[in-house]
Amino acid sequence: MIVQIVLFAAAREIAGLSKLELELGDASKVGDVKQELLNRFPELESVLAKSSFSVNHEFEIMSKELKPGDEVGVIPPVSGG
Amino acid sequence: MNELIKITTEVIDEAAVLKSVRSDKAGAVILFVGTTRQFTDGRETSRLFYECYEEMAAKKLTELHSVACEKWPIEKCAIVHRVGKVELGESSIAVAVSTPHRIDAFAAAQWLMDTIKKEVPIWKQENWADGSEEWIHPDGAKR
Repeated sequence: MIVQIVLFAAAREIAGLSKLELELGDASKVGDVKQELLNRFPELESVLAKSSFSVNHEFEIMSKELKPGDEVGVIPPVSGG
Repeated sequence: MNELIKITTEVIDEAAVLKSVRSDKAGAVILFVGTTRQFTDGRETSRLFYECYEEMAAKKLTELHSVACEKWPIEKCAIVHRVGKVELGESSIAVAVSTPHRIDAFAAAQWLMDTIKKEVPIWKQENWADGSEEWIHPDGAKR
């Protein structure tokens, strides 16, 4: 299945892109996205270690199962306000 | 989205935000404004740059607005967050709350600010006076 990944702030800058598509196996989870991002962008390791993930605009845990077309956000620690 | 909740690249009109929550049922109105600070731990800032995950940030702000309205007897509540460049002394956020009595307005505004800073996907980049840039990703902020 294909999912859409969106990246922000330091994660976006280090990866050098703000969005990408990932092809994942059936029943893949948020944790698989994290691993695949690490495989493609090893330099993301330190920021991913402290980032949260969202699925379709809600924070989710690593074991959350994905569906085709889901939008997964990489959310480094936030600093708004 | 609630018309009193906004994410904007425009300069924030604080007086308009304050006015937007005034109500004859309220005896108290609190306006909190967050501004670009020149010095942080002795280091000089030229300006801040804010980035947001727009759809999710708007959704989270709307949720926090609803939770605040359940926790306190709020008449009106406005949240305006600016994104993009925010120069020294300009405002990055304005939160305004009106309630019948002041204790609730203070408490609600404080809770909203504390929670926005922890839970809403908006990021600040320091543009230091020496020309360097740095995304601020506080340790321990992981959910």
